[in-house]
Amino acid sequence: MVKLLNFERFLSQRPFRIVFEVVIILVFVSFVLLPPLNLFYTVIADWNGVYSLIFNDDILKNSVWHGILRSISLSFQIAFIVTIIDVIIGIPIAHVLARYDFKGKSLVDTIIDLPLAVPTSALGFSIWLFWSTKDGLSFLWNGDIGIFDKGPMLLILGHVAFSFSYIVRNLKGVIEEVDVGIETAGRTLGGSPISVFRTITAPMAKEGLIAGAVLAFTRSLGETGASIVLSGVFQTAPVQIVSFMDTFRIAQTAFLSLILIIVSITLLVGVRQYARRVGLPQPVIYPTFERKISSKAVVRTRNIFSWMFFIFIVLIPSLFVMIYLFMNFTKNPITGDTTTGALYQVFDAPDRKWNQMRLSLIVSLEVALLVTLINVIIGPPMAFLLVKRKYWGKWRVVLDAAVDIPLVIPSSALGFSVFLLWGGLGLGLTTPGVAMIVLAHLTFTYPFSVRPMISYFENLDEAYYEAGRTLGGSDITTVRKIILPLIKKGIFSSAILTFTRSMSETGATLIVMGSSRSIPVYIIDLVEQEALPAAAFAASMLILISFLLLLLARFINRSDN
Amino acid sequence: MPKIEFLNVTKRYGNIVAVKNLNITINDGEYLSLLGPSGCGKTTTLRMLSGLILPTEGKILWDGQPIQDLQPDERDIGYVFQQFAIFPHMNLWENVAYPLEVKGLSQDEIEKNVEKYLKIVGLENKAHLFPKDVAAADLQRTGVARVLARGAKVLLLDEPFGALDFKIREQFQDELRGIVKELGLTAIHVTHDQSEGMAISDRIGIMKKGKMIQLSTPTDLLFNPRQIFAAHFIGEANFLEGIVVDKLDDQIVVELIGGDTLSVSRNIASFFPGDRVVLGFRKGFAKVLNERISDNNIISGKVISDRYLGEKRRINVKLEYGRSVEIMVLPHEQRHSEGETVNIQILPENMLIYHYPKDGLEKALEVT
Repeated sequence: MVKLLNFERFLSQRPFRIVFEVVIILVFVSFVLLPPLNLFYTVIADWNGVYSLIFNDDILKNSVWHGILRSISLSFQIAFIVTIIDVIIGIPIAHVLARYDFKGKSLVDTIIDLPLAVPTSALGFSIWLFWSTKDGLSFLWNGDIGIFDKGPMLLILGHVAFSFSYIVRNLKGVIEEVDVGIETAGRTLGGSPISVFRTITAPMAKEGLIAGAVLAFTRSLGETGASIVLSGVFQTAPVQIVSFMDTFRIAQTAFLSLILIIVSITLLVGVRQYARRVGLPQPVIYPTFERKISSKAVVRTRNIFSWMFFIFIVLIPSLFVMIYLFMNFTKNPITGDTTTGALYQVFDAPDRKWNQMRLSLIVSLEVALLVTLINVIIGPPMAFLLVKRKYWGKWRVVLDAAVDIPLVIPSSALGFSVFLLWGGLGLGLTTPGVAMIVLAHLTFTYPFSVRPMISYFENLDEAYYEAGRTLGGSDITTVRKIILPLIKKGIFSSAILTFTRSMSETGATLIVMGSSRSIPVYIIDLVEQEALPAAAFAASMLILISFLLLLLARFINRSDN
Repeated sequence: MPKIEFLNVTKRYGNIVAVKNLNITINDGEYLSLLGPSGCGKTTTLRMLSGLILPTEGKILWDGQPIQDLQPDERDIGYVFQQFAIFPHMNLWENVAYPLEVKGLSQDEIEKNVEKYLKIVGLENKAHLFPKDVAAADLQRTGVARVLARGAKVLLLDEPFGALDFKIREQFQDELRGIVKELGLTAIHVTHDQSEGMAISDRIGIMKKGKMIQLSTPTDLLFNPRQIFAAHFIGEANFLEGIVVDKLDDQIVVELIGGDTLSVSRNIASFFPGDRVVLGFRKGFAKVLNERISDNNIISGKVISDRYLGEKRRINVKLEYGRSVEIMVLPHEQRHSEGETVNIQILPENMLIYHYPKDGLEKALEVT
């Protein structure tokens, strides 16, 4: 005990502290800032090569550029539509969840979060099954074909399903931050609920609302895993990155990745800088009209519509894969053929899918575990430095925004920039495979281990640390005995988040996996092999794991209060 | 036994000077208060002594040894926080045990000491409770027990009663002073509450804008405040401007703007006829007379209001030439109605006198 205390006192000395801080900051720089910067550098350095391949090819002329333009424009259109749908339908649901108490609210809360537990590749598969196959919605009337083919419509449905819960959660938090007392004041001064929301709540929550909209936009813009299943011949930009990479067209991949990264970071920074100054639609009030649409009947209709939308467009399609698995568990429900049952396909068929499934599950678990472990060690100290150290000065705001970069850039572009930096074309540290998957996952989960800890440290009363020190504890002893116990719930729940995300990531993994397979990627493989019941089996397994982790995280957060 | 000296200590944050050229000596076993408006540098001074922040310039000596660069855990101090900072994940017993554990004591010694100090603050029956389950006063008792257990020779108390109910403060003041004196500790107590400072301290330091204005006993501060600000901040005083017109053997005569004259009999050595001065007198050191019985040190005016202020009464009087003064009297004294003419008598020995400040009177009285 005394030895440990002395050792901690020894390590608390200034030189060690400086080394430690430098290491933590270097990790931050090399995980978050370096990959995109290196990508930028690569494209600029090889601009002539990139130019001739994309704009001025001997045979293709500038048709590659047109292909890129087409995919980017499709991505933008989809993101735009998805954002509008998310925000318009999300606000009423978020408002109800933020402002009203009712029986079973926490259950409803959990159900809203349910789609978050569905990994994107499983989600894409599930959406496709539901809307595009005769086993989906068409099954109800014994149709021969699905309702929508692969393409823009299906992409919109998929992106709404995948982003809706994030947005509702985000908007809920934003609305909760507006003081109810001020809304009440507006109401007692004679404003109808809609007028009050539009002229008081919305302007006060402006920054959050805009940030929520941008989140929806960037998530849709960057979505890869589900889009691969849903896009068919209509490639979105992140899907095009994957297909460029499949044929190892590095210059094209780099160019497209760079465009997407620049767009995403511009949006992120732009919102942080300008959200405050943007005015929401003019504060004129239309008393009669707004009172009319505030009437009980209208509000009830609107709420019912929102919830119906959530249930039938988001919830059921997202989880449909489990229903499908249930119907096809042992045999095909119509033909009764057991060789198309999930059990036969997974365990008994001659190609032994279970072996491959088990291997990819192990890869996923190993990667997720390792990534979680490393990020739990390096993330919270970085959050601590960002919050407590004065040496950042003005850069604090910039670095704070930079933490979120891996969140907003498309995962396939992120995966590519990781490949470019650490792989043979860059530092040559590793080749595509499990090690590179770990590096890519470290990068994109980094914000999950830093962002929540930043607010934990901001809310942590400095006096606890000071008390620990003035009562005779050395720096490290105080951190171990006082600070860590106080933030351990935060660390634990961000660890679960990191683990879940790593388990379900698809886009970046596709780029850096080499010959290894993670379970979400294996699901895509199975779908491509048309072994749908087996794919449903793997997807359901993954959804269950994620869902249990999500519940665990909720439980931990609940006991926090 | 510690004697603490600040030698030319300055603390700057960028361009802002929080503490400027501070020179004070704190004697062993002394209970010292630092008093002043918020932002005056009193907490900064305390934190520099604790090691939580380091001075920009100057030395802090502990029995002659410089300590200004030592870490907080290397100094024999105990810091008591305004918001208690009782570790929420430990019960009261564990909170008191913390400083003993980080010192590396054996389990036996820890237990013995924790019991002892919990008993001193009267918490032996609440040891198993967690911070969220005890009252604010008990949290602060834990805060005190915790620093005692650390073996601190010097207690640094940062507004320790600031978050406690008014009623419990006075009781706690006696309790705390008792503990400090009984254990022979030195205490430095930061507060902005003058009555708390007066009640608990051996000496009080009045600070303003990073500078020590006056460091002396409560009595001295009350009767001989050396600067206008000290007179203004401790107790309550009226200030009037005038010019010295005559100097006698044992008193000088000042003519106020407007014509009344007042005599002053103490601290007058540096004043001569023609000097522009500020006269002051404590609101409670004046008498209100109905009739002008003598000409000696009387100013007269009309009553504007006469109101109860807790257990006292405050009479607001407008003097003939426009300025107004306030007088504190006991509740049972004669009441005065609005508009009534009254005479206020202040004895020459109760008058305070100052040279007219360079930046004007208003500036000298500014609290921020």
